[in-house]
Formats: sequence, structure tokens, C-alpha cells
Amino acid sequence: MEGYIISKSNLYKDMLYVYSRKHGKIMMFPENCKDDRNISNILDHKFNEIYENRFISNVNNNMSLITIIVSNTCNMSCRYCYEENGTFGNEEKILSPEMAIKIVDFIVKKYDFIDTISFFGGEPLLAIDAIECICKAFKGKYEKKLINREPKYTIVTNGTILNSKVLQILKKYNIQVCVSVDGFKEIHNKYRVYRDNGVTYDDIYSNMVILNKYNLLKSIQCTYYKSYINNNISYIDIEKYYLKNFGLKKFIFNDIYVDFDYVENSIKNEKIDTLDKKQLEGNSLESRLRTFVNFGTIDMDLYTMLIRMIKMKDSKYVCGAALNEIAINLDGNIYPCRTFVSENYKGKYCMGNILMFDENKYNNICNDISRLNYRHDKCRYCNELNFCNRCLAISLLNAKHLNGKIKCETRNDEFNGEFYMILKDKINLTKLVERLITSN
Amino acid sequence: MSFQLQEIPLENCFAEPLGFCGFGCVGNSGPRPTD
Repeated sequence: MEGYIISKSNLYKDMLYVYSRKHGKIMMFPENCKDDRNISNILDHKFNEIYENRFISNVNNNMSLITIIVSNTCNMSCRYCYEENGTFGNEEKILSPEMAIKIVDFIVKKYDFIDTISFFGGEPLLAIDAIECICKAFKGKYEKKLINREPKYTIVTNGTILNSKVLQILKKYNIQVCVSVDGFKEIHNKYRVYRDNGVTYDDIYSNMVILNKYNLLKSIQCTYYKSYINNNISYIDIEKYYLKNFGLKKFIFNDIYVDFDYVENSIKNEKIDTLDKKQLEGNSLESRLRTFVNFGTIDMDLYTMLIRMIKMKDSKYVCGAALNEIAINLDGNIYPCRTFVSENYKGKYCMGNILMFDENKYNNICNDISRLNYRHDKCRYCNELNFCNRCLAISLLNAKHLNGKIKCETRNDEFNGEFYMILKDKINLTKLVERLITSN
Repeated sequence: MSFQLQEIPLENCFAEPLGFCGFGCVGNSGPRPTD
């Protein structure tokens, strides 16, 4: 059947998995229907129905992610840092315990449900007292039955600060740690340095060993430079190294489109070189899918695409900024997401302050962001929607000429054409789906 | 023939990637993403 890949499920009795290239979706249907002579037309019809009803509005009073900026200072001075050492251009400080408690009070009063709190900076572990206050305050709210459960906690840290107090709090509140580490030692040390330019990799590696011992290390976030391509190092080389040494399976790669070896301070000079990660076989879709099926390691971009493929419904919105996620800074200012906190936006998208909360102001920004984030109705017929994503904050900053409107640059069938050919000849659909749904 | 396409259940999967806030978003002190 042209355009479809069908394979038998091992996990669900008498069921088949079916991938439709035209729709970019993977679903299940009963095995006994497969031999119907009209099955191709029936599947077309069924997948079209899903397309017609695919959009859901996920706007409610639940927050899937609240970022709390607990520190706007950092003990490192990465050469490429866009936050000006975490300060976002402001005075260096850490969140006070008093303000930490007020932030929790606000969150619990304002929202019906909070899934995850993410501690962010600067370097958030410089503010371990504030982090402890926040976790303790949520625990107190839970014990008083003001919330149904305590939120999950995550932290993205540079991994250089780990003492017995930090470790004790991370363990006590099960704060899941993502460490920013740029792949391998030599490249990492070139860009991620202390303020006195001292190298950091060995310190971070030792701390990762300790975090891993206590089952707190969940992923790494790696900036992927052109230097990696020049040195023939692919995503999967980095994944395999951290799988072997730490058992890690989740990887966040931030591609940086600048050749640091070529242009000093290139971001500030806005001299952008092209990063063609496809130059390396290990970065190809086929290699990434094969590595996932065989070893279980995956980058978050691909993971999210695959998850969306097996979801019947898609969000009407390109991202959740202001709708199901927000960020709160040290002064109690509320923003649509962590990226909007930057001074680059000159406060234009500040949704108010927790100390003098103005519901109208908050709702107005929500509405503005919703309008900018709303998918066009015709997008429901696009098979590339699963990975049609833009960072709204960055788009607004870069795209003054668009008058705030986000331009569609998606080419229909770009991903699914390649994905289909891989599933047809190279990778088994059942193995891929079942790796995905059992990955943890 | 009457049947419905079904969504493949995801209970065992990690629900939300750690630190995830959408594509193009960056984590702590990362490079400024280009669009």
C-alpha cells in the first residue's frame, strides 16, 4: 500500500501499527481489518477525519511549566552566553527567601494545577536557599491540602556547584538535574569557562558522577558547534559516550550556527555561518532513529516529533508561552516564558508583577501571545506540523520586518518523505513505536 | 468495514522531556538560539 507502513504490534494483541506518510501520523487499528479490499481508502478516510479534528485548544488554568529565575548571576563566563553571565543586563543578585515564598503563594493562588517547576538562572545552584524555600513552601501547601500534589522539580545547572547541602536538597525534593555540558572535554573547555577563564570540564564530570550515584542526573544539554562537525563528532557520538559513562538517554542539543573557530565574538557581530549538521552521517535522521531503536538514546527534538506523530490531537498553538507555561524573575515579574525575560524585549511582554498583580494586564499579554502563536487553520492539512515549531520569543526579536507575524517556511513532506523511506526499507515500525512508548 | 484508528497509549513513556519548553527554546545560559 503506497504511502502506508503497517506492522504488527507486540504489545497490543491483534493490533497493527500504521504510519501514514501523507498525514505524518502513527496510529493503531485491529488486525482483522487489514484484509478488507478497500483498506487503503478506509485508512485515507480515517486519517483525514483525524486531520479535520486535530486541533485542540489547551488553554486552561493549568500550568505545565513554571520557570523560576532564582539567580541572575553565574560563576562561569561562557564565551557565547547570551544572558550576559546570567544577569540579562541587570544587577547581579539571587532570589531572597522572602520573595521565594511570595512567588509560591502567588502560584498556588493563581493556578489550578502546576506540573513542573524549573529552577533557572544565571546559575540556579547559587541560590540553593531560595530553592529550598520554594520546595518547602510547596510541601506546606500540599500538607494543608491547598494543592493536589507537590510539583515536579527540574533544574538546569552548569554542574560546577555541588556540596553536601546542595546534594541533600536535590535528594530531598527529588529535583531532576540537567547539566549543561558541551560534549567532549576539549571543546567544552574552550567555551565554557569560569570567570577567571579556568577550565570547567573535570569539575563538572566529577559532579555528574556524584549526581548519577544518587539517580538525580537525568539529561545533559549540549551546545553543538560547527567545531564538532569539523572534528567529525555527531550527535550520536556524544549520546553514546554519555550513555556508556552515565547511562543517560535524553539529550538536548542546541545547534549553534556560528563557527567560533572562524569568527571571534561572532554572535555579537551577527556573523552567522552555516551549520550543516547533515554533513555527518551520525546526525542523519536514519542514524538517529537507528540509535534510538538499538540503544534508547535520543535527542529531544526528534523525541518530541515522534511523540507528536503518535498523538491524535495537536495544539492550536505553536508553543505554550503564556498559555501553559510562564516564567517569574527575581523581582516577581511574570513573563510568557524564560526567553522573554531578557532585557532585549524591553519589558514589552511583561505580564505584570506578583506583588501588584493586575489581572487585566496579564490577560492582555496572554491574548497578544495567543494571537501570535495561533496556527493558521489550513495548517491542519500539513503533514509537517509535528515539527513545525518556532521559538516565538526569538522570532519576535529577529523578525521586526514581519510586524510580529510568523512566516511559514515549512515544506510539505520534507520530513515525512525521508521518514517514510527509512521505515520502508531500513527501520522496523514496531521496534520504533515500542521503543518510544516504553522509553523512560 | 467499521473500525476506528486508535491512539497508541503512552503511559510508560516519560511524559515531558526534562526542561522542555518547545523547539528552539534554550536552557540555562546556553547560546542565543538563531531562528
